[in-house]
Amino acid sequence: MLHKANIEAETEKGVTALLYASQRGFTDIVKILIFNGADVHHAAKDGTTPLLAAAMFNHLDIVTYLYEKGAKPEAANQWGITALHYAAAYGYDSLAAFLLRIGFNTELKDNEGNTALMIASYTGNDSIVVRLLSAGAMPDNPDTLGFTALLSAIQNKYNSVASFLLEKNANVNAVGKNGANSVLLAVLNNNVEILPILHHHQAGLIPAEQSENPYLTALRQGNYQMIKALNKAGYRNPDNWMFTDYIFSMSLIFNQDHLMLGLHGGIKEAFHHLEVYAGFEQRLFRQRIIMEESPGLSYQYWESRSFAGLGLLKDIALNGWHEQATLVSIRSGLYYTFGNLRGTYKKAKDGFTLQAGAGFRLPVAASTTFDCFADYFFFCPADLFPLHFTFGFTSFYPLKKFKGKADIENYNKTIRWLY
Amino acid sequence: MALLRYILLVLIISAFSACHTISVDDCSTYDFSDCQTRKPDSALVSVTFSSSKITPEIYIELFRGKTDHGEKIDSGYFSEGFTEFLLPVDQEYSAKAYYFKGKDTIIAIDGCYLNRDYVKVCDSVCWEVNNPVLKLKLK
Repeated sequence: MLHKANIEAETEKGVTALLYASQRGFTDIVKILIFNGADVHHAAKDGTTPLLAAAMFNHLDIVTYLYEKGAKPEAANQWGITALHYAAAYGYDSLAAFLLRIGFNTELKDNEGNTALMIASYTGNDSIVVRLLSAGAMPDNPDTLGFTALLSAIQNKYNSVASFLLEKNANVNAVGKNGANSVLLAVLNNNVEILPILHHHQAGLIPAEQSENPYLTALRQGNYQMIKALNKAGYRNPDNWMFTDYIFSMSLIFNQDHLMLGLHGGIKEAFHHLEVYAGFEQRLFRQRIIMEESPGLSYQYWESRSFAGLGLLKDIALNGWHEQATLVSIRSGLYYTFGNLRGTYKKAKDGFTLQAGAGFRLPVAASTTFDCFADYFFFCPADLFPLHFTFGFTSFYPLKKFKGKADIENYNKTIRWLY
Repeated sequence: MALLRYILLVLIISAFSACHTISVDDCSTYDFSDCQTRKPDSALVSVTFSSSKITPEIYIELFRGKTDHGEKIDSGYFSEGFTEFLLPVDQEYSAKAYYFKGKDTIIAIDGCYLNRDYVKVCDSVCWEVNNPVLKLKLK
């Protein structure tokens, strides 16, 4: 200093000695520089002031000193980030306390519209959330996309922060990016614990007509535990039926009488785990059958036989519902069986028969299961062994609106400068 | 839609045509010994039936058409569990075999279609018949 060094010399990014010392926490140097006339207001080219630089690294003593020397505490850099934003982001509790004590404006927003409360909720810094709300921060001040502090906390599973915000009357039905409300964000981010709290605070399931039903989202995610959690929390799916997939299966059916090829097609209702199907089964090879015409007189024919009908199937998950769940299934159907006798115009026995069966399905590939069933055919008009065993494969083809999982990035918030 | 139907029709016809043609790389080296170039008017229909030491001969009736309303064209006792009939092609045939076990009678019935078809191999037309078997053996 005695040699009259240029105290305001700066780098090409506009960083002065004071700014550098403030950032590094060199309190004594800061004091010396200011004593020798360093400008406390001088900002670097990105808008960072010495106070902001000190706040970024939680040098409270330097922040305090610079403030006492006239530095503006609410100065923001080119991204709109203030000292309070940094305190909220990185959990600098004492710094936050100081800034609030000197009357810092809690509603200042960065360029993305984030207040300090939004950032503290996003990062889960409970103590700073408490301080900010106590200082009068507005809990529902939204960012540029409509996100609120509550939605941020729910998204990132900071449920204690979310609970506190709700107790302070944060708007439980706030709607953020692309129509996502609190329940949808909880489902998307697998935040099960918050659901009963949201229901208790009367959070609506679907905020607007164009918004996605969270039950539908959970189905698309294959997150059956979430569906259970929604129900347990007290919600009910407004769409009673959700037909999600076309199904197609091919199987071999056999018993002591014959071997058949079966083809089934239908539609799956994922919410109740039901399938409605139409089936056709064809005996692969003709079988010899003997029909008694009268006592002492019988005819032997070569008979072909088919079964066609409709059925209903219900899946039960053995180890909880998830995408790779092993399923026990029960099914029932009404079939019509008909046949043909070679070499004669005489008709084979035909008529309706009732099917009842049970089996299990093992997931073997994406959207494909290997199936094993045993079916009993009641009142079958043909003289057939009533028990059939089936082995086959079923494939699921999602309906257009169920294709693909919900893109979480369409709904979630990101604060870029935090990373 | 009309274009789709047309394409489908062309595909079906092509498939049909393809069934009647065997592609051969070198026609000069192809073995035509199995190729019957003369269009057959008749072919053999085989009949198998149960025959035992107790009942070595079985009474069999042969019909043109189905057994119910068809024309009976042959009948008689046959043995050895097998017989053949030389019959005109492109016709339906059926047969009955009578089995007597004490007071009980079992009549075994079967039917078939004696079909004539051809394949084109190089410049030759080779005729084939399906050689059906009427299976009258008891279950």
